[in-house]
Amino acid sequence: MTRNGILVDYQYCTGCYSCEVACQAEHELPLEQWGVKVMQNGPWPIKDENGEPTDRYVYDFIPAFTKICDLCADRLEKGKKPSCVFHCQAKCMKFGPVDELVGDLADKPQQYLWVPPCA
Amino acid sequence: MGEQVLESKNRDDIGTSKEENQFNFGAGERPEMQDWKHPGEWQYMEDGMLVTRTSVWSAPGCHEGCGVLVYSDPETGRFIKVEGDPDDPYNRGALCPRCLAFKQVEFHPDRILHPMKRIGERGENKWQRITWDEALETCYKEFRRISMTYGGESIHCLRGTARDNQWQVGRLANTFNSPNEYGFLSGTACYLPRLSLMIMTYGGMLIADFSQFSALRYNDPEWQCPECTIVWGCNPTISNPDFFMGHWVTDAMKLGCKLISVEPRVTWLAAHADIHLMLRPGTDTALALGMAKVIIDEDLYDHDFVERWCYGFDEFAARAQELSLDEVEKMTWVPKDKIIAAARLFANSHPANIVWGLAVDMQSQGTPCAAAIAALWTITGNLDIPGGMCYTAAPMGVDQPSAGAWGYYDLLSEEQQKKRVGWHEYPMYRYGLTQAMPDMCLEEMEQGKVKGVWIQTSNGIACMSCETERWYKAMKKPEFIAACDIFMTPTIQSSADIVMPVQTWAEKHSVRAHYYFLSAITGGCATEGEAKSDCEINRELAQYFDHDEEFKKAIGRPLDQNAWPWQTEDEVYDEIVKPSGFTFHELMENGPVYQKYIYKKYEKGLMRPDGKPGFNTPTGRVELYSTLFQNFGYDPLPYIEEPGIGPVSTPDLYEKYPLIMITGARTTSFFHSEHRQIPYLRQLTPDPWVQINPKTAAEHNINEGDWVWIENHRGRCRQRARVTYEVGEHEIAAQHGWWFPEQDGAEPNLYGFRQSNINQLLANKPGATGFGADLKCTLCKIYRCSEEDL
Ligand code: SF4
Ligand code: SF4
Ligand code: SF4
Repeated sequence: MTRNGILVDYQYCTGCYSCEVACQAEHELPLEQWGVKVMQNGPWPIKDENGEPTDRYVYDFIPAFTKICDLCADRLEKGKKPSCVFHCQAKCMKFGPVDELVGDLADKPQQYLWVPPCA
Repeated sequence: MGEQVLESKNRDDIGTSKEENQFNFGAGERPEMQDWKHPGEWQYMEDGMLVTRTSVWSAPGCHEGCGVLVYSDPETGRFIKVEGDPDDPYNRGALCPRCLAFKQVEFHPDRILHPMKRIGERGENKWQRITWDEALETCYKEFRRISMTYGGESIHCLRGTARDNQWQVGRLANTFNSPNEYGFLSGTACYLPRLSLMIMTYGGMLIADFSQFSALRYNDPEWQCPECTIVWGCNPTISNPDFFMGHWVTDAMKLGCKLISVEPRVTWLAAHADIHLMLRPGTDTALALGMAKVIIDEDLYDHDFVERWCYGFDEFAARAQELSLDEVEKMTWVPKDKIIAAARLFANSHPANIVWGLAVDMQSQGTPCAAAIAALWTITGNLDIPGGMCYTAAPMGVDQPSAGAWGYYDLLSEEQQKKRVGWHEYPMYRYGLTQAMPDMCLEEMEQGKVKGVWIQTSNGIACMSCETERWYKAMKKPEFIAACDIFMTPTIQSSADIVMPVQTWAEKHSVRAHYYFLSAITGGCATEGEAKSDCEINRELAQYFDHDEEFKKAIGRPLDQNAWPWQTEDEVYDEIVKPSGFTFHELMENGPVYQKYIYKKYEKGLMRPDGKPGFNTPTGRVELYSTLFQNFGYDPLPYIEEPGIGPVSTPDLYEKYPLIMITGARTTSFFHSEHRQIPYLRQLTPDPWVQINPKTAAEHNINEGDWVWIENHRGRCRQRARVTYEVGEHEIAAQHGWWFPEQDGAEPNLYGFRQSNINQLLANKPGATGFGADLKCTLCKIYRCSEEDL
């Protein structure tokens, strides 16, 4: 069986939370339970060599998948993309076989590959 | 180029016709269709579920009108789930959390399901179920009596923001013989300052071109990706503002578009911009003129375009050039070298465009500010070119719903049109939407001149109203108030006598006609309870008036003129979409229809009613120096003025209230005051938050999550501290639109609408043109709530 995963280009993740709610709605999850949860880093100013804040900031969102994510197995059966990937507003997530996604991983920085336990 | 003679005209004789008020070009004429068709069926079965393709341009949701696929039970018709429509060119499958959580709206236990009448005092929360006939007949009798006793203008019709029911509310007002339709927002400070400025000086309305005019989107060979975009006073990836999907900006960034952010906060986009101009709130005009100065001084402007198509460039240039960049730096707090760098990057990029937002409107300077920013894209030659700033169309020739003026020019006598509140005092209100002037309406309501009110999906006291208490009290005065909504709101609870249930977008038929394409809202799901669409409610109510000869005689409407001469709501939509050549049902089946978009229309004689080249303005050119402004007695050029309250204009207040208060920062969880009762969405933002810089928070002994009072000379409210570098040390950013559907709805609590209502700190004080108000640039102080406050 091919092992599937999700490649996230978090350079463009804007923190819109569509993935969180897409997953909850798809699986009718209870509140405060997520297949994917968006983590926030920043904003905070990058400091210069003297420790003074500059006007450049780190501000990233990263969708973090949890172990209850089953890569939307039911949808996959019907030939559909996972709900979070499909509805992502920044279109910054890609679903596919891990070996293919590994190739894409080399194309640009600021990406990561998620492979759930069920895969 | 065609020109009109203005000089000889009296101020009250200008801007009186629909032709002068061109909202979208091409209204009424069927344009050539783009060679594209939605590949899917409008309805089909999948997995035992019925799938219906529709568009979400109706409450609850937002402005966008995203294309969706609704899954329902084929037996019961009830909603099951919604997915984005991957073949819809507008959103291409993506959805924001609000539509994704929609099931919790559809089946929410708090939905209003039947018409009800009040049986206690206003605000007592005592309602009794009645029939539709009783509800509509009561409305008819009351509005008839009021219109015939006090004049149609004494009935005010309120609506929320521009969605499908925008024109429906206006047309119903006109049916009552009232010209007065509006929302509670001071200075109509939401798009209207920009909109009316563009209509008066550009002869139409412009928006940044991210390929959305074409169904082929980024693959359209004619489209060019902007080399640079300025996101100005807008957080589009979060707000999905006014018919603009925010993530078109990230799409363009992926294609190499450079980003300049004009934004007092460090939003995600600002942090990812090539240049971030972190300006002091409310000083946008100075910044725009400063950038124009650099572009002109360094000769980076498009001489050919300016000479051929602009009126008053020399005067505009002189206005910009008299500024010193040191002064601009001092005013805006933006370092001069950054202003220069941004001006150069923008002017040297081609095409380039500007995604501007509400911050432009939400200052009393809204109008001159819009003029100054618009001049930047104009003098750099980015007008109506691929990837530049393009004129919005009347999609497939369909104009009425978008303009909201369907009825105003044809159902009201000229005399009655001029009774629109503010018509005489604020002539700019004749351009753009035909709305009444809210600040003056408030005064009329306080004086008891407003006798009847119709509220249609508008939660004014919890959302738009500044000096909330004034609006709240004023709304107790009218003799009769009827409301239509999906949920009970503080506004309806405190003031209405009759309330009627409205269908959600998944249940209703309607039309989505705005800017780029024409599509049908096809419903598809069974209706919960007895709800009806906004249009159908209004149509049914209008029948009483159309059959009432005595009423028609009294208001001077010809006996053979019917305001709603349609037997069903679908017939109304047939009438609306008629210019497109489709019937409503054909449109439902066909899916979104795009016309062939034509760039540089001003060269081709497509912008003016007389068919001559040029723009639909008095001089036939883009008026950098506005002849209409001159005629109306306003400064014809953009000028700089400090916000009414701030560190410079009111230093004494600044001493007491040392923080600049930005309001209205969006989250994806809510659309204005909507969605507070939706669990998946409320979970994302459980409490109202106010962003405070870590340094400021430390100085005030405030920790993350603390409830804090935000206070100024007008009032106070409490929100929870979110300690973050997203906002600077000199500002805070507070949320708007909060009420608590889970709390007691009866007076005096009214769902706690005062507790966190930031508008209590804001004034009803419009700018000189009647447009714009200082809503995102006032002053406040903050302090921690004590135990007993909570
Ligand atoms: S792949 Fe499916 S199950 Fe996993 S997080 Fe996304 S939506 Fe949830
Ligand atoms: S939907 Fe996409 S852009 Fe939005 S938070 Fe999730 S990963 Fe980020
Ligand atoms: S609420 Fe979100 S998904 Fe729905 S129409 Fe608006 S932007 Fe689109």
